[in-house]
Amino acid sequence: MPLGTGIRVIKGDNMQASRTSFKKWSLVLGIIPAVFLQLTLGIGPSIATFILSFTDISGVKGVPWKFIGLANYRELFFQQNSRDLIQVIQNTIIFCVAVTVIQNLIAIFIALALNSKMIRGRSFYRSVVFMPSVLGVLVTSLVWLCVLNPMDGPVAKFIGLFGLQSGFFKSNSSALACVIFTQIWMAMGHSMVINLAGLQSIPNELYEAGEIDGTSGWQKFRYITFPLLWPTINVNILLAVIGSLQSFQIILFTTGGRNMATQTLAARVVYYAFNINAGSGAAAMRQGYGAAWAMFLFVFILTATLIYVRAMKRREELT
Amino acid sequence: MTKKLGAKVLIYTFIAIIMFIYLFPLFYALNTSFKTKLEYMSDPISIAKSIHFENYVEAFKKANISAYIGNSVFYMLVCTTASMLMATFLAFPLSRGYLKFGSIIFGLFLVSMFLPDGTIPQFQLLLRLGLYNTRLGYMIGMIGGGGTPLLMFYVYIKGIPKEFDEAASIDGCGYFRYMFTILIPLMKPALVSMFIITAIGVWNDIIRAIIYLSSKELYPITRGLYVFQGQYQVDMTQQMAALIMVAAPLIIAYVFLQRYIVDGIVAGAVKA
Repeated sequence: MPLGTGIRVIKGDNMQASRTSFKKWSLVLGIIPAVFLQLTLGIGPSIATFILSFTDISGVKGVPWKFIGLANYRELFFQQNSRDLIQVIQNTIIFCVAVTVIQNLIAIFIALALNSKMIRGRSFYRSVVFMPSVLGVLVTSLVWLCVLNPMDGPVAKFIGLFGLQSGFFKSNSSALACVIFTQIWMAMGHSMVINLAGLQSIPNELYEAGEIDGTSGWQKFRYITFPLLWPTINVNILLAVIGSLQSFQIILFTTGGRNMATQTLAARVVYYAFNINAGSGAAAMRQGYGAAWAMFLFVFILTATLIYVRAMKRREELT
Repeated sequence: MTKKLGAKVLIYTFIAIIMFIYLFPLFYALNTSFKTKLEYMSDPISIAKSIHFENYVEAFKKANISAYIGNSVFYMLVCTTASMLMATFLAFPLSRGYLKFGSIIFGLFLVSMFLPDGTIPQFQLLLRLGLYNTRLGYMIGMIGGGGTPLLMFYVYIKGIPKEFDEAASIDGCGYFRYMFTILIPLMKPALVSMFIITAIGVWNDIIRAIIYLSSKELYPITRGLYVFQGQYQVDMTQQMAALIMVAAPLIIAYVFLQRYIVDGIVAGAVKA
């Protein structure tokens, strides 16, 4: 859900109770299912993650479990191989920054290109770029595994013409870059569509006025388009930061759950808690330990969001 | 004039590159799925000499696709319908301000994005309730009244005159009858758009399908594809045939419904 929009909705409203002649109990009855589910399967579990992070609970029913204090956190920060921890954090930051920056830059360019009136077939191009959002993570991952097949895939053959070779998803040096690429390929349509909507809301009169004053193309972008599109870009950036920090699906289905070269915080959570794609010999589902990783990720996301929002506020104050 | 032409060429080149990056993988997958195994091994990149459907027939049988499609349709319809009903019945009194603690209830649905991920405790809860590896256990976490639909309906209902409520209740029309016979038909454009977006999300789910389901009879099609690609990793041609069979319904639906899909995404992010 787009962050912030909801808050704006409430803020713009005075939510004072107004009178109705419908029976109150029937209105309440109508909201009970949604509220019940939200409390039991939404907010409840979110809070319980914190509690479970102090236990050694496993994903198997009937196995006894107990509170073990800070042991999970101690293991996470001090007892595991510190190289692994540093690499996970490093991967998370690289993944987040690369996805956010590249995805938004290209999405702005595409939106600008598809918004210009002299281009034909714009709605077709838009549909094509948005399509991966509909295809989903699994189809996206499998298609790119096939195209980036290091043995006989088309990209391998193509770079082979220049005497190059790469293991793509299978080699430690290129796996993270491939994962980032696939993630951007999948998620960019979303940013583009939001940018296009932002561009279309800029009133045409401004450009006309600019034309009368003799502004150049660059000046139009610099002084009209960019400042008016900025709020939209801002939303997009925040969505990309949070989305990329939480995202582990592409990583899971392309490089598996074990490859340390592509492990991010979010991927570690599912690795420990559910053993998806973890390969044989993986430890039992350590959900207490997984919950500790989830809490670490949560603090990480919160910090990143706060830093970004703070930086934007300062920028606004300066200008 | 020449400057404008130059810009045009530049933009078209840029679009052409993007189109290639987006369309090539899909065509490559399609091309691979039409090849015989031998043809693929001798030259994986060339265009298929003739169109073979053997891969499709084989993959259809091996991946058990017919059974999984039924499951996926069932999950999609139940989860989406339930979610739409919940979001509607939640958005109406909140949007109208008919409930005393409306803002607190709204807050319950917005605050979850600022909380830690709850997947693990949710799993524990459903496991202990005996809902692991059941249809209900798989679906229940995908049903809800919050998210983009709630925001969109909240805004949309504001545009429906309050006088309708008054007139209906004065005529003795009960709340639920009013909702089903008058309000929900009026909300059709918003409902259709949100229904499609929610349905795509449910159809494409794979993580919950892996976490919650262990019996084959319960698998949705995504899980079927996942298992298939694990078992037949070597046979790229059949793998791509299975993949196309999973992706094709989505692409066809997308071609016809994209207006609603894009509208819904934009509404979710910008409208409010």
